[in-house]
Amino acid sequence: MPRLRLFLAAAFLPAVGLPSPACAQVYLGLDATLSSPYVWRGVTRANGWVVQPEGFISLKAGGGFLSGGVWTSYELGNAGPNDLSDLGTGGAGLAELNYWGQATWSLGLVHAALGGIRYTFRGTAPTAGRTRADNTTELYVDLRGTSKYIVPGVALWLDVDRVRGAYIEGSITVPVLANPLAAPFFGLITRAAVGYTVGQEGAYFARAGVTHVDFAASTDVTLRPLRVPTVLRLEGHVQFSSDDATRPTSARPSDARRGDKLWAALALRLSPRVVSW
Amino acid sequence: MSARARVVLAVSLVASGCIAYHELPLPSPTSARPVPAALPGLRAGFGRVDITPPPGVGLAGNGPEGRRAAGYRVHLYARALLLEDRTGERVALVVADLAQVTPNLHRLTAARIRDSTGIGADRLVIAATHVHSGPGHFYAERQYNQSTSQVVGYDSAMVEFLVSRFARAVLDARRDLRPARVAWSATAVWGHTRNRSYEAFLRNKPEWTPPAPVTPGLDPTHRAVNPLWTLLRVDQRGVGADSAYRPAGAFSVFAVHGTADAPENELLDAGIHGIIERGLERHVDSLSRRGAGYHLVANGAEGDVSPDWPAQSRCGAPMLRPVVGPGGPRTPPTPWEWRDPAPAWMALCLAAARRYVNIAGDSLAARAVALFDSLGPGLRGDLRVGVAFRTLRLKGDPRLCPYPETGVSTLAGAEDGRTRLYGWRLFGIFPIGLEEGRHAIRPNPRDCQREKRVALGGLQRKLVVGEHGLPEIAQLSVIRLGDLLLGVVPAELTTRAGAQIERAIADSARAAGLAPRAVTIVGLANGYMQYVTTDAEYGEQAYEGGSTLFGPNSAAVLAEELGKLAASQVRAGASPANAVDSIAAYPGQSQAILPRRTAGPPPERVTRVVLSQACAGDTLVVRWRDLHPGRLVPADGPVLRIERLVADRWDTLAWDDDRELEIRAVRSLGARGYVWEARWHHPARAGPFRVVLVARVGLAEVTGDRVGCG
Repeated sequence: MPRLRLFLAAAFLPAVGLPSPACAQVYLGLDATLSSPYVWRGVTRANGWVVQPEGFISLKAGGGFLSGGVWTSYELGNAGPNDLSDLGTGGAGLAELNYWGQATWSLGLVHAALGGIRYTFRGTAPTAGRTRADNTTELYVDLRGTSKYIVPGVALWLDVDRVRGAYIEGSITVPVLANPLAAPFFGLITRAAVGYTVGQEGAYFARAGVTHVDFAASTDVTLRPLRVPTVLRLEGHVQFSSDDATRPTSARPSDARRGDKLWAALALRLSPRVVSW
Repeated sequence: MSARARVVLAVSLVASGCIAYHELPLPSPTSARPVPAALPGLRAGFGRVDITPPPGVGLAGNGPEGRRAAGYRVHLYARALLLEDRTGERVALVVADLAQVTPNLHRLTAARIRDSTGIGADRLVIAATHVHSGPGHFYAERQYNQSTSQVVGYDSAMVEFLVSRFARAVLDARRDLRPARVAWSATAVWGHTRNRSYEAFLRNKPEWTPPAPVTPGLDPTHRAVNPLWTLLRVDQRGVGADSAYRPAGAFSVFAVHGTADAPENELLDAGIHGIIERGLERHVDSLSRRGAGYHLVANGAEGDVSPDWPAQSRCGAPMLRPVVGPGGPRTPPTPWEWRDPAPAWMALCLAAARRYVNIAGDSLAARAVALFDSLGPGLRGDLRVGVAFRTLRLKGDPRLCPYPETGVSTLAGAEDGRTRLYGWRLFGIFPIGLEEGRHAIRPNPRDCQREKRVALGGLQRKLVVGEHGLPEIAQLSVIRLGDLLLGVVPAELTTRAGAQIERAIADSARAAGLAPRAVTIVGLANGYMQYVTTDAEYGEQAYEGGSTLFGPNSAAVLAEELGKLAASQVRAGASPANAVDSIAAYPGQSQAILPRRTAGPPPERVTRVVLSQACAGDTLVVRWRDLHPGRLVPADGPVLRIERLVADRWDTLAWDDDRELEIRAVRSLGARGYVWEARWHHPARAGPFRVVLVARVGLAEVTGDRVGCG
């Protein structure tokens, strides 16, 4: 029986991307995104400047990664009465802290990610967008195809804690052009995504169904100063909202019914390989 | 002026100002006046110098698909033939295993040899075999240094590396000058080459009349080439008491692209030309019994002529794909990457390409041997030599477009080596001309470049190329070797453009009283202005048309100029007074790309040792510790040899110029040296084998243990 368990474990572990001792590598990652406003699944959570640093550790084995990390969101300015903010009026500082774990594989023409994320919030003001009472946990699966021009993707996020219900996002990513020379990489990528929710009306959204459509363009510049892969990413979004929860762009009543919004983000990401064996 | 126009103008001016030209004036050495030789009759001399740089340089010729050299296979050489007739008329012919030859290499070499040989730029021809697995970084124009491989940049050390060796080859040939007898002929070699831009070729009127009877059964693309192999055989008299004339070498011209290797190849390699060169050289060795034979293989009008490579020898360009990377659900996504095909597939197609290089090279070498042998009875010592030379300023010539521009079809790559941009469409739907023909053709021609859809339009010159980023001059010459005329052009002429120019030279020469038996184009010589098509072919905007920089009239202008040069040669054989105009190079700022001789620890601090020897099937794999690339330069001499135990004796089977031996620089050990790897394919040869690391300056010979493969 122990041998059978060992055999099953040996057969199963590679399938979830756990390392084989022969060729594993450990990566440490640091990244930070600066955005304004902070938009999450089409919902404007903060309409001021937000910086979102993250740290993670990843173990690469075979064709996949096992990763775990901590992601945070800091609201940089004190929100006014007409602003949207997770911390609420007058607040600035740490608003959200997420813990996550993820396994990622490449399965030929499909990339798959499976993981879980714990959302915790620090808002305490009466006007806070998110408070401790909103803490919750989600499991998710993200599938992306690969082809020369069009990369379809679908992601399912299932709340298993407070909210229940699911959020589904379908997307199509199209590279417009990229530097034909190998380095430094420079790419212009466009993406269209549509959000759909089931069972989360009343929590995040006003009703079930399509929440929003998002069109994004991003440029990636990859450099290797000191041999550390460093990516500078600038992305801009145009969003068309179809749910009352995704429409507001500020707390002003006049912005509560906006059908469209623009937002942008600048991200810097470093992910050096620190151990290899 | 609108606000938008002001912004565009400001950006353009700033960007133009950012493109560094680094103008380098080039010398203009003119040949000395011919002095009749003391001995009557023709004299000839040969020289040969290894020009294989250390790994680490970019492999020029395949644009964004050109890799960084990880190692080397068949060595690259520059071979020189110096001819001097009884009136003292001299010409030096050099053929180098490179993708192109540039005006700076030509002029600097001429300056280096002028005082010793009397040969200036006008009497020096340096031609490239057009092999796509030689180094870059020497171009006279910045844009080529930026785009001929994935390793970008100009390195003045590479220029010095090549020029010093070219000069040594010519000086060796001068020292080797001896009474000689020569004969030349041409034979049709069908079936090894085909026209890769057949649709463009078909646009020409009247239809193609091949210069030799066609072998039955050939398909149309194989018939749409110039199959003539022109070979000048040279026999030299011995030294001292050895007064016999024996075979010494040959100068060949055959039109075939040096693209038999796969574009994904990562080894410095002389390619199909390397096999052809060595094939005849070994034959000459066996005939002369005096030592080394020499075979210079120049290229002809090969612009649209591909070797007949098999489909399985092409791996496919990398594709832009999303990648799996470290991180989680809220991490900024990993950037997309250009991903090569699967490694197993790459290994298969690279092996298929190498097999083809060997087989086709052997077959073509056999044709050269047969032609060489057939010339024995016709050898004569009264060849007359003549040279007419001029520098044509392309930019500003009213017959041509005012400045050079590249078409979108160039970015897509030719059939031999499609780039990763080939077939790219905006959002996967809208064609932007990254193909041959079709959308690469501008529907409403309205300016000098006519059907050419210029890549990036007007921004190409303003933002990318700059004022001097592409060629501006063409060094042209007509060489008379008896009744054979060589039309020397710094371009890749298509078959029909070559025929047009050959006809113009022949007509002018006859009008001037010469009676040439044949005219042959020597392409890719003394400079590089990319491709030249006929006017009709230009309308198709295949790769060659997109790469005809100065517009549809280019072939006509070259024909006119070379015709004038041919006419300036007089029946008596005396060369006209050849002016050598001042020119400059604009290569960009020099960077350290060629590994330097100061790289890594010096020889006395490196313990050279064989680290491992193993057999994988029919391949012997050896790893050893040695000097860093830069200190270990393949051009300095052999690095290792493979020996086999026969009875009680170790026989040498291969050394590092063998087509079956690949050598790679694997990884740095810092202050302890560098790990190198040799892979030797030994079909049907059983061991035991051993590897011997050849003694070099500061390093003793090292012998590995015996290993019993097979």
